[in-house]
Amino acid sequence: MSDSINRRSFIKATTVMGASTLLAGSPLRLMQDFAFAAGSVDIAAVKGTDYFKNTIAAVEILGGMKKFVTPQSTVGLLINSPWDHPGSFVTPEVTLAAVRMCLDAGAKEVGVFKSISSSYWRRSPLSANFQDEINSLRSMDGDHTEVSIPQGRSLKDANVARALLDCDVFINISIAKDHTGTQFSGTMKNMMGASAYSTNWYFHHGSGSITSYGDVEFLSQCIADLNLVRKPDLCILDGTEILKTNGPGGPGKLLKPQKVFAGVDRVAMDAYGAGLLGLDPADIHMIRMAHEHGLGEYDLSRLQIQEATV
Amino acid sequence: MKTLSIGLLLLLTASWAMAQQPQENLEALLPAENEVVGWTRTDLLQSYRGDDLFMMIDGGADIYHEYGFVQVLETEYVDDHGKAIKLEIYEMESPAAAYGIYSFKVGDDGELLDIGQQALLEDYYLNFWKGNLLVTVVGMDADDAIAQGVIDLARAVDKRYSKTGERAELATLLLQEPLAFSNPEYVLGDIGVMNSYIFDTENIFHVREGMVGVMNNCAAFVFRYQDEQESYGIYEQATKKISLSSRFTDGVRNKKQYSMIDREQNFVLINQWKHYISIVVGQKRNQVETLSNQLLEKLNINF
Repeated sequence: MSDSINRRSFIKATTVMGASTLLAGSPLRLMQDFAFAAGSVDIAAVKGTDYFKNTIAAVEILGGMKKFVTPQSTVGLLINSPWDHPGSFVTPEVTLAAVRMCLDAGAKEVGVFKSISSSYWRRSPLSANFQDEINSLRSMDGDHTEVSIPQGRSLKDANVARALLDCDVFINISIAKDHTGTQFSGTMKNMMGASAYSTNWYFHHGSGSITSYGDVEFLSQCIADLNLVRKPDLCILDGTEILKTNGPGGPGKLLKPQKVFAGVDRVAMDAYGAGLLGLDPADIHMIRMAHEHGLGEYDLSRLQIQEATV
Repeated sequence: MKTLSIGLLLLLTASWAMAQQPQENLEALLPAENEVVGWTRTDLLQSYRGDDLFMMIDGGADIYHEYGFVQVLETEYVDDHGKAIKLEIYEMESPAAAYGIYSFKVGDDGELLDIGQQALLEDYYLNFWKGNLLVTVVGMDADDAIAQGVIDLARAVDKRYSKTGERAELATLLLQEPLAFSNPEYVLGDIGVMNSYIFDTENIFHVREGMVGVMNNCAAFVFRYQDEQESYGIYEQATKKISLSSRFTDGVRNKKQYSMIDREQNFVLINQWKHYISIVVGQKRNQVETLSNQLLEKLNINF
């Protein structure tokens, strides 16, 4: 415990560097002060006004991207980017930091399961300085394959992005936000971005419901079941500026916790993210159901959470 | 008789289909070039009708359908610095539906503006309703110039649309003093209700029309049904389900009244009366009971 307190104090005392100073070299070199022993940390939560730096610091607390991405590996990113109202999409600074870290770790290729529009990058002035990285991203969109989910309770098979199964490293990058139907959207709900429209349609209507949220329990079980397909090697959750109301698309009231989380337990990540919105994870069906599948822990008192400020 | 029944069915089907058909030319409502100083429309111009709304806002489409969505047009305006404002014009089935989706979308605080039939500016976005329309204007950044641009664009749309309409009778009643609902929300289904309070994960009250709001720091719900038989049947089933739920404790049934305590230690009082089910939720039992009786009296006077 005293070790982490010392580290927290050290971070607070560190001079804040602007994101532009990172452009001159590898973010990992400049952020080496944040490389802590990560063995027992379940969630790294970093707060600060520079979301690019927050993301790097959060991953560093877990041991750095090299812990997850080995040289010459193919990396698949699932990014919640399609929405356009403030607080509804992963801020580009978080995405850019993840991409940069993957490349610095020696990834042969970094791809995205859902194509990212040029308007997404325009939402951050930082994108102008990362054009090479943006142009290097490979689109893995449109190619789906059928998978069987024998342990699924409501979903026994799904049509998912082939790249989800083929890539060496899968990184789930989502945003914690309100959702009109499921109350909360985060890491696990983001998996619907890797499945085909036909599968997602089944989630909403497969139990016979006429409306998309007529059977939230069925929908939530399908989301939990979908998360059986592949465990993310790393989860990054955007908790910087998030929708408190009128999710998933907004516009709505914004909360600005200015935090970025990183971890490998997607249930824990969503439990922590739900807390930002004042929600009890036990009330969120998909969190509870995923826990019942053995996919992770939602009792935050059982988790090692490392918080830091940049 | 059979011919008459078939004829009636066809007429009803045609009427429903007509109600779903767009009635408005939304593109004609877009502010023209230079109409709003400093803001120029981009090439983005997309419209969606019916189920296609899913392609624009994915899971967010359902609440619009619950209220009676017909069509939407979205576009974007930019200034010389590249800052953007999105404009979305939604046509709903009726003025009651437009007011309903407006009441769902707006928050608890913001600045009321004299635009449309009702307008609220919140931080970086503005909603107003007028006639069958809900208009949403969203600044993609938060600064004073953009906030002014949001207001100016909203006014320009308002100026181009002259139709008005009435809120639903239930909404008008519960927005009148005494005991006017604050933070009101006119709901037409369970998604709207669940947004305020979760009685159960299922639509146990089978809400098709209702009002949600606040009275003297208590949450209040009024659901209207076709007749007393329906409201009583739903009341019975719902309270039976609630009595078995772990969300609530200390359930007490008294004919057409059911009380319980929720997880936050609020006292919850459900009443079934004529066409209505009313529910009041608050910290103090006495206050909840008093407000509940006053609410029933208000419904009774206006029944």
